[in-house]
Amino acid sequence: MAQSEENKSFDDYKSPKFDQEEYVGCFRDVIKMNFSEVEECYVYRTCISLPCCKTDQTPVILRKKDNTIESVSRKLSDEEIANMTDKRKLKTICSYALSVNDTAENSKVAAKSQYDKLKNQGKPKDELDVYADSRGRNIGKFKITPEVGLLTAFKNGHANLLIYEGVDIENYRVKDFVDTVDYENDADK
Amino acid sequence: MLTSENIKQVGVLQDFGVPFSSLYVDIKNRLLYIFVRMTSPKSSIAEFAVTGVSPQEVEAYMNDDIGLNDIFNNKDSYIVQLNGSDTSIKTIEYKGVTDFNESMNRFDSDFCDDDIWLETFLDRLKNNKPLEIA
Repeated sequence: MAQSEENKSFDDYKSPKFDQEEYVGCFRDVIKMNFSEVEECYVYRTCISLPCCKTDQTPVILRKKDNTIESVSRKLSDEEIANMTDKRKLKTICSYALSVNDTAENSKVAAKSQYDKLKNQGKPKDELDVYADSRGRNIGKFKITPEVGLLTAFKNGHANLLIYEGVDIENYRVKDFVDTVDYENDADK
Repeated sequence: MLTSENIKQVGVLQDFGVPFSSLYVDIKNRLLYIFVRMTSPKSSIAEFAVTGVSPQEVEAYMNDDIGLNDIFNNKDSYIVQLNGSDTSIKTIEYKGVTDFNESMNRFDSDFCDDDIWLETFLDRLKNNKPLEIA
């Protein structure tokens, strides 16, 4: 599938090649147990998109790149993965995936719950703004079809979408859908 | 003295939109350092309080058994600058760190996405396994 020309940064960060043995073959058991092929549906999420670095097993979330100090390699050995419980394997493989919600309302609830937690801890306004910007203020709606990837079952309105290599989720955005998270006015409701 | 030459980032312990507390390692000497942001996230220069930690202290912090004040208490600590366009770590001052308030002091797993990786790394360190650069 062609990459969106509008989204140049996507050229640098790709979706996980989860169908290739070298990447996540060792996670195949938890994928089989927990992910299934997508039936056509709509999903919602705030921050978009690009969760993974193409060079390592573990994703690098773009918002965390606030400095350029070198990092320790996060490539996990087969032995380390084999020694994980299924729950930890699932959590690790889900970090490759896009976190999605079944409704825009649940997407708002998810975004605001942690914002409220920070607010209740007394974090200053500028830090709350940084969190809201990072988490995302606009909600995206995406029409997901079987060629996009695999999806976990929705639990409490939340699921993880493991997208196939080369798929650009932006191509599945419902263009005329507009909704936003009003962190300040809706917080604490 | 902390120098930038061998210091590599391991992962983020607490992330509030930007990293608040992070774990770094001296890759050559296998020593751990905890970096805690002391400046506003919107500030152009990021200043961190830094001190050495043991793997056991990091695990205790992640288990919410101890807080940052316990880690920084009675230890040498530094204030360092990390500039986004400059990979060097510059020690600009040596002083004790003021108390972190309660909301900053304790670890909250809701704001840590790297927990499984951090635990894996600590296991590697404790078992004398190789530490590779990304």
